[in-house]
Amino acid sequence: MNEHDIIQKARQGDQDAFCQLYGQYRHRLYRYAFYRLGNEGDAEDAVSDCVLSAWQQIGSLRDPKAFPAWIFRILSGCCAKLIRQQIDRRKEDPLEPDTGAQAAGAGSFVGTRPTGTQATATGDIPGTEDSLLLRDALATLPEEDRNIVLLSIVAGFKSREIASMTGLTAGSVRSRLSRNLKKLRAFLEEQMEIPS
Amino acid sequence: MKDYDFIKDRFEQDGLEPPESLSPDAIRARLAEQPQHPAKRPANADPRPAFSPKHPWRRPLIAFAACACLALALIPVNRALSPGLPSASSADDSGLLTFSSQRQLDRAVAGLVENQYPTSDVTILENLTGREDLAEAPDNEMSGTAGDSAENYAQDTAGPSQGTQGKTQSAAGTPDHSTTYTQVEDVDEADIVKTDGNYIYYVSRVENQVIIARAKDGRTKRVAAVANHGNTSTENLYIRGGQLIVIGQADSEILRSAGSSWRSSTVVTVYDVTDPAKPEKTGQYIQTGNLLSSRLVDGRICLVTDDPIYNTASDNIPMVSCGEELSPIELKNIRCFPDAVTAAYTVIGLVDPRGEKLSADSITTSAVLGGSQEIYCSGPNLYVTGNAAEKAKKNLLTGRTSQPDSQNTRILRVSLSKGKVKYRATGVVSGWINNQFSMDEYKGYFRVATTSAKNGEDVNNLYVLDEKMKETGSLHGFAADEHIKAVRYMGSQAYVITYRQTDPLFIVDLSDPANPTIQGHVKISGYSTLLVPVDKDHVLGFGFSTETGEFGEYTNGLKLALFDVSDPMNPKVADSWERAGIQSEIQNDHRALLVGPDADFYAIPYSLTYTAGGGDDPVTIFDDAEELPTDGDDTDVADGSGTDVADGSGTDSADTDRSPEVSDSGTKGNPGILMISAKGGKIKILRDIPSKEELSRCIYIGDWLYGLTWEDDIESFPMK
Repeated sequence: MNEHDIIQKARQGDQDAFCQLYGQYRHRLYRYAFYRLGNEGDAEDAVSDCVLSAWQQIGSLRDPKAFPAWIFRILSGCCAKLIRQQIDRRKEDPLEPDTGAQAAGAGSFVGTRPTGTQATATGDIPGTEDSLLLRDALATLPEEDRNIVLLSIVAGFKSREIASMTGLTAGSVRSRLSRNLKKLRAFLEEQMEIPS
Repeated sequence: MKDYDFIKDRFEQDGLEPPESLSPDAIRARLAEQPQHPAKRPANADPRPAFSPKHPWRRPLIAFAACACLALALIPVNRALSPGLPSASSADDSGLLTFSSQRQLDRAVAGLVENQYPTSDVTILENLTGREDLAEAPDNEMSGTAGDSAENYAQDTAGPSQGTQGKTQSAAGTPDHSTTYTQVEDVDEADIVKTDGNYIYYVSRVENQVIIARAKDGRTKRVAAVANHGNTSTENLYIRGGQLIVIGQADSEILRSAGSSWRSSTVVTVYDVTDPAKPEKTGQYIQTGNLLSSRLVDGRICLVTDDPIYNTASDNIPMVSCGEELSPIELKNIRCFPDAVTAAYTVIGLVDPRGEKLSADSITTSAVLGGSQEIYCSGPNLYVTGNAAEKAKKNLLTGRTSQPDSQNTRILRVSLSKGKVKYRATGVVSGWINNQFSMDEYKGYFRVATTSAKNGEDVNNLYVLDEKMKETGSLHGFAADEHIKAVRYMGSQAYVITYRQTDPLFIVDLSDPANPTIQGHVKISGYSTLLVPVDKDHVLGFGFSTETGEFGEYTNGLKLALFDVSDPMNPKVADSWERAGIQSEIQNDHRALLVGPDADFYAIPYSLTYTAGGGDDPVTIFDDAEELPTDGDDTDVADGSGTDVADGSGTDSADTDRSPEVSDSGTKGNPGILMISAKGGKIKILRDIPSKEELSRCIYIGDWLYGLTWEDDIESFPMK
């Protein structure tokens, strides 16, 4: 059964088909959420919220081909909600450790680099060493550009698809991608040269 | 290794694994505890998901509304704004809502922000009025508004309604040269490269600047560059009358609004390039929002941006600047779509760059609450489209509502006459549009083709609207289970390409605005994404070839299809040409089309999508000798061809070694330029010109072709 058929079955309320479909996107969804939010606990919550919302709404999904953009749009909304919660938490308790992602909705990551093994506010293990380095690299980008990079690299969308999702023109997406990938690479190569 | 591959590898090796709680089995167990999927609910169940009733207080209204639904169903959206409703705002004569206080605007914004996710079925109008119209709208309901009774619409529409452009123009003493291929003649569209016949102006994304290069006889020499700084990117440009107009996008800390780390703005910078070697900045205009699109019409830049709203703070109001501090648009210049669903402003700026310096007096800016998607500009009129709220459908027998299975497109007509932005009328059509070519204005009528969903299946429609954006005629539901890929209007006819597994071309007769009818259609494999009128009898389609794989159809290359439309009742495929394994920017962007002198040929850049058989062996793509001329085919590059990029210091640097490889029977694994003839009902590949690098655009000046590479370089080739 191809993905189109699986989506059709899920739309008709077939729970197994929906779970099979989710299984195909699980890693991409989780990775996207982790790098948007900066810690595993919030990423888990975001994906969990996303999948439950998607199940509730999939009956109204118009075009099966639109499923990838649709599910990531839902996830993006869930992430935005969690970012707001992170900001609120931080306002209530300024001493709460900045997981990096908290800055996603409120400013630059620069200067708030995680220390690798530091536990997050929720006590979760913050991620692998490589993922933390990538998170640090992403933290050097503005929020919108970070999202574009993730939609391209992690979610696998093309520039035109990202353009329609973000409201940017495809040309703008391409130029931003090009600029920011160069920037990320420079950051990562510099970090990799530093002996641990 | 390319940056993309390098970064992708790093992400794929990051070691991240979703926790067990997110395994499909764990999710399955959790779903079992959730409310049943809407599709499986009993017919009498509340169709709204249990987790998302944002306005539970409205439910008691359903019974009341059910009684009144028949009467309300026929009331257009704008008429629901009658004084009897406790409206927080009022409608102007174009059907847009106006605000008399900041508080009203804040309330409208709050409604949009709260409802944006998940998608709501409650319109902003209902949020503002506190009322809910649960009537079921007829499938073909159009809600239009009268807005310009005092104005003569004929004046608004005076001017060319369409063009077969891309033609050349040349002033005395200036070599013949190409212009950007645009949808409407005399309505220029910004692009990444332009020429005035002596100089090439092009966007360097790598250097984030516009480079000005002298071009003569295949030699190019960089003479100057104008750069954007900081977080401002360089997107595209116009040249007109000794002026270079550069459009960029900026993320600025200055523009940060509460709760958001960034706010995008679009920056228009005007340079005097009377002496192209010494560009002089004469002004800069900033308008908040992401660049949607722009046009150059009657010497003025029409700039449309989409300014997202992230929260309910008042500082989200669009701002503008012309050399001074950014200031918010005045409330009197802000409107609201009655059926807005997107939390964003559509900002429309009309900038007159003529004059020694850009001043605030030469700019008009206004904003409409509600996001935008595409624009079409006929010259006198600008049409802006966006998502419109679609009502929940109500079953008249049971009184129950269900989620809409399609979406509507709202269209705003704005007059640009006399340098003023005037909202004229709004209308709504069922479905969504493909791109700007889906729209057209002709003899006072606006035509738009849409795809909508009906019972879970795509269907296609074509609407004709009058100057008040009221439907005069429509064609519903053609090409079931297919969707529109390309549209082109020629006078009183529309050519529509739809696609599922084949590429039918439909010819629609629009001569009677009240009764659009399909005259004929013809099918061909693959599909076109751009239709170009060749002559009165032929239309050339550029698009994708397709093949059937394990999971259905997928695109596998470039395809040209020449349609004979001389008998509209019986169109034919006059000729076609396709090659797997190559792609062209023309498949995504009409501006990649070059129309040769006197429309003798078309030229498009292409690149390889894969190498057959893998490895480093070159693939012969053009191996059909019959399609290639037997003589004059060699890309015999004259001495001095190639790119000669100076550092802007004015010194004449030596030629670089950029002679393209000679191609006898076709490209051997190179990207390049295809020169195509579509005369006499035949597609002929006149030449295949290999290039060193992949090209995004090609232009011509005199007898030379110039190709702009993705790496912001220029290659040149003799045209003959």
